[in-house]
Amino acid sequence: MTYLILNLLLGIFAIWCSTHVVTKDAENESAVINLLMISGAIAFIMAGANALIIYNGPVRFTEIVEHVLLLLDVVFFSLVAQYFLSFQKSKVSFFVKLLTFIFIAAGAYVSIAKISIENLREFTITSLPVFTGNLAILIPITWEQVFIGFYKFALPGFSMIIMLLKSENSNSRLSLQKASINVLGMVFYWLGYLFLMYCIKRLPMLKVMYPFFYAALALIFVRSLSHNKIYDFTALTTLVLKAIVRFVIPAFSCALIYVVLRPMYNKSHGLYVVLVFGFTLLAVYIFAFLSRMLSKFSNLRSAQYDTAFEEALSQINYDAESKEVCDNLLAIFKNYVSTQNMTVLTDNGNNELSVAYTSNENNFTVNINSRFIDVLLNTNTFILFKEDVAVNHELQEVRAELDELFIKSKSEAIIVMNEGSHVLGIIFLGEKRTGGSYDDYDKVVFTKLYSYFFVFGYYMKNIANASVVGTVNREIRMSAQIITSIQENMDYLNNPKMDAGYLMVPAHNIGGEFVDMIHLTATRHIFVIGSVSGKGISASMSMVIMKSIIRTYLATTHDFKKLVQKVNEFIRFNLPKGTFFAGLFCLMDFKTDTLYYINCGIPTMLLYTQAYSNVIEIQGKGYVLGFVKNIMPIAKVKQMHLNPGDIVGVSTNGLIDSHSLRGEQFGKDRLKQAITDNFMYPASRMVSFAMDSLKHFMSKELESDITMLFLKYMGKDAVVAEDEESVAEDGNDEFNAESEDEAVEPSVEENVSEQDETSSESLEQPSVDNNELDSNMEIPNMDSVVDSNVDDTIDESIDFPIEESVDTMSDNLNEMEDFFDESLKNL
Amino acid sequence: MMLKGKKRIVSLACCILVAMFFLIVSYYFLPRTLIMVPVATLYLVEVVIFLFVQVIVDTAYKKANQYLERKTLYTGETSFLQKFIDSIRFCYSYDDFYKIIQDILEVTADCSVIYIDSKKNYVLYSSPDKLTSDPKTLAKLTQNFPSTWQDGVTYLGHHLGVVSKYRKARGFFLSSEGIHLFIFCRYTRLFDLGIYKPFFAEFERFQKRTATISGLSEVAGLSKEWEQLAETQRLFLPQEMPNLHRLKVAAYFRPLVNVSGDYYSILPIDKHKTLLMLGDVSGKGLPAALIMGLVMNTVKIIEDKEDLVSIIYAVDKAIKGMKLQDKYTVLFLSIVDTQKMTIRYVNASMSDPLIVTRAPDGYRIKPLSSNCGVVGILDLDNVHVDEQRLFRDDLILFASDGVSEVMDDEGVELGDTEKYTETIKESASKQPQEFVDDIVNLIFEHKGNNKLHDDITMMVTKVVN
Repeated sequence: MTYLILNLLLGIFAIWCSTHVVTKDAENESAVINLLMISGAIAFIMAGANALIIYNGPVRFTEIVEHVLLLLDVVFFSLVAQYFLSFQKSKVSFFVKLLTFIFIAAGAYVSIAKISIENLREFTITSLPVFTGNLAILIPITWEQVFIGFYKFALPGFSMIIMLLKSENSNSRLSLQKASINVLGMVFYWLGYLFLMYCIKRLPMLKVMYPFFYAALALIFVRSLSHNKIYDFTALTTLVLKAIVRFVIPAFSCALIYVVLRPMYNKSHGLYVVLVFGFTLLAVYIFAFLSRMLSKFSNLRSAQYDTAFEEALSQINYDAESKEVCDNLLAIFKNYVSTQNMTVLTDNGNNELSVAYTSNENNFTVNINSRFIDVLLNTNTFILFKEDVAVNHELQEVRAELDELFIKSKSEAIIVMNEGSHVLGIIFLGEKRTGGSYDDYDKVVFTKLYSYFFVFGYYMKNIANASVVGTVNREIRMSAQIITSIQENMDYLNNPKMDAGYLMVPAHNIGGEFVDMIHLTATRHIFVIGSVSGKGISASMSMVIMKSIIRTYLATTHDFKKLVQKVNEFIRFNLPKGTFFAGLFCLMDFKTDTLYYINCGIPTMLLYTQAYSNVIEIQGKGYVLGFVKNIMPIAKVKQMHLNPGDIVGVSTNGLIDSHSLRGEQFGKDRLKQAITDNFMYPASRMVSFAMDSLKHFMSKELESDITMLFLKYMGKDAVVAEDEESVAEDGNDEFNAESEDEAVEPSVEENVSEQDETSSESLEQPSVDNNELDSNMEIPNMDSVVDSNVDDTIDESIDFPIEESVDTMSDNLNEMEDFFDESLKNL
Repeated sequence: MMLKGKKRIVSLACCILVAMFFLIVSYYFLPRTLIMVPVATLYLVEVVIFLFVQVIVDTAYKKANQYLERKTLYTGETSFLQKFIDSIRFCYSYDDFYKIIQDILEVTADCSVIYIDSKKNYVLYSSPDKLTSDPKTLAKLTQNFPSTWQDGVTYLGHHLGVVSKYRKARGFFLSSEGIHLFIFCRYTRLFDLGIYKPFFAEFERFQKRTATISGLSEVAGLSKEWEQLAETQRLFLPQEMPNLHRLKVAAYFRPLVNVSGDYYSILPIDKHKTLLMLGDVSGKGLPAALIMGLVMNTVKIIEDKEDLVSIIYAVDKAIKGMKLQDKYTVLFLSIVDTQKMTIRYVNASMSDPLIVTRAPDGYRIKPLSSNCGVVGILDLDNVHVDEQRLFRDDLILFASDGVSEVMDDEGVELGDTEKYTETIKESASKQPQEFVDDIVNLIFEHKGNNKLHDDITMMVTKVVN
């Protein structure tokens, strides 16, 4: 009954295995699947025969069943021979098929016609001698012996030798290894068969266990097909050592315990059972423990190298020279993946990937715009093995290119290191030392550890520039002092009627934002705040130049709007293409308590009115400088009458666009809140509090430069006699602040009355009106301050006819479109 | 039970199974007759039986282990941490890390997180919930776990202190070189203990990877900025030589460190008059380049370019306006009038401007000597314009001191050699570009293997018929 169950279990197991065989060798795979299924069938039929015997089934039927088993033996070994003869071939030749058919037919004939079942219970067979007469005496061989000798030994043995010779001639180490595993399997089967035959003499029923050897043989064939790694000496030693510790030594030890304690069996069954069980358990546990310990030795690690490989990759020291880093990476590949050589290509800046490292003197380039790179990126194929090119249908259109690449690079695998759609470089891995190809496990590991290859690629791309860092940092350090000094170089407001506070905090070293205060006369002060596009030292350079240029222009320009136009022209024609300035120009006239301003794209301009204790946004529309040739038609001078306690807060976009850790934007509301909360403090404290509020909100390093200017109007009473005198002295000098102006009047009563006149841009600015000002309002000139020796004249404000203005604006819009187009092209 | 415990039990169970099956097969399945066989035979049979049993149980053991790992790490509560660990592998920046904290730990696993750089006392990230947003929490954590806290994983108790028993933990934190990642989770007890080791290892690797990427990003950013700056500076210089009436011009510009304080400009005033300028700002590198940009653009925007004195004053004022202590420029400013055949110039301490003119006995060199002090640092007084006659085929050479001060192996400056003078005379008959090439070749020949120590800038103008 036990044998019946065991055979049933074996049958189920063999059939299950046959449905789970996955190898890369389709033809041979089907052969071993057939063998597994036949071994399963034999096990099932054997179980059936057992059942017939146990339950006294019909004798004739039992005999037929046992003949069927013999026939299946013939089929099994004929297919084994066919498998050997066609090993590593893509197709079974007609000749081999014919031979197989002949062997099966002959075997069927012998098993049915020449062999009879002698003992159904013990599965013994008998047959007549092959020869008769004298020849029978000379060669006393029976059909049974011929049957067994030919089908179980001669046929597989002969075909096995052919397989070995063919593998030897193929010069493929992997093929030879696979053939060797098959041979070992066959030898194992023969030994097992002989052992079984030996045991059968004592225990005839043990013969029913022979399907186990068939299944084992088929499984060994499966193993030889699915195993695509070539065992080198270390791997083979490791394998053998582990098998010895895990299986062989425990087997011999436990068998020894069993045999040694055997004499106790007759004395005390119970004690014998307990002792054998106890000692066996102890031996198994100890050797299992030793086996685990053995696996921890790095030299005896298993073929599953991912953990150790990752550990090694994570230990690469990127502070070292690039050659050392590459050597380390190659050593890691050699150690864990058996890669023989490696070539690394990186972007050389000329739309080419060129060799940055090679261990086998490869020298080739790859065009970064090659079609295959696009295809690899589009299909997210970052790890590609040579063998995959033929089978991956997504790569069909670039198959030829990839094949050529693998040949050109003498590689078997590539790892594409990309940053978005930009390829940083490619690692080419040469063939494995063991001769095997890169397999699915390698792919899984490479994919899992791709981040390490990315870091390597990023390092290779940038390390060439590392020497620049020292120079640049030194230059920045030296320049930062100069730039800070230039930034701080301004005519600080010293007028009791107004308190000005500002803050400039660059996010990284130096930036392109600035605040400037220019003293024109005792009653006139210019404020400029803004940001030159770009970041870092290049933007700083533009900022420094622009700041100086504004002062130079002031020497000859006496119209506020023209000043802005000149700055606009300067940016457009003299600074690098694409540079623009987003900011605000203000002119404070203390005599009339009026602030004139031109919004040049300042994102935030807030006005706090003390009377109503609220903050409103007043910047309206503005156009950044540097986009259009002529800003005059679209720039507007606005004016705002300030009352005591009013605060104007201006900030660049760095402040309001800053994000917190959770991704929230600081926004204008928080700035408004900061103004409302701290209106009682001096302007310098207010900007500090606003900055504190930002820091608290962000809780991380600054993302962008932060620049703020707060102007706090103190009151009319503070006009001093000295100022009056200055005005009188400077009375001949004039500075024209208006053209087509808009007035901003913080008085709400007036605002309410003027709502109808408020332009569309002033929805949030109840204090804005569109009252046209006197076109020739004269403002004392700044020449007393800037020491210009040029004669001053009063510039007439430009009065644009509506039609002309519209046309000009349209032209300007076209220019802006052109500019954007050009910028996009440049990008 | 934790994965490790489960694995141990499975391992022990497998050992028991092997012993049991071995005994059963040997004791019950083998008939008595076999007992009578020779010991060696019996021994071999037992070996085979054991091998069969061991192979089968070993296979089952491996499968059971895989099943346990899958079940423990990829299902249930621990799977959240496992997913997080798997995602860390592909984080290259803090932003990537914050993203997976939000997506996995906060949204999926209902955890809250505070991520602190305790050395800088800086919160890198905190989840938007009451506990982690509360300043008291941060204060307590900072107080309890200083930056010197040993690397590893620690369980957090209910009062934000340390607990040794994971069952009583309300969270845990990972500490790696002063960077602390606090994860608050009321079901910490349900996480498999085996997850912490790979979690910490991956966290450490992330820190290291981010630092590497960040360092390299800085290199990338700086080198890009550096290139942009050089490009910006070159934009201030003439992009191409203008076509001038009866004048041919060639120039050479080689900054020592990517950017420099040397500059030159050619600004046509009208058909016959051209403003030629070449100068050198004190110092080198970026600070000098900043002033160079300032000077170039100041000159560019001045409307009356014929008034050389005003230009000098404007430049002087622009530099002084910057209120820098040690920045000034030497500069040669001139207007070549090809109608009157004159050159009017202000030489603000610039060395070596020369007119090479043809004479019966060969070429003669006429220096355009300094008539003004350095610009931008001292008070300028008495700036006046000098004038020289020009003749057909006269060649005017403007060069920064980097040219004449190139030294050979013995420390001899090029300007002091006869070879320099001879080359100028010999090449004077050539076109300006050829002349420039000859001088450049001479410079590199003279310096040999020595490094250059200064920016080299030259401009050569030739009056043609």
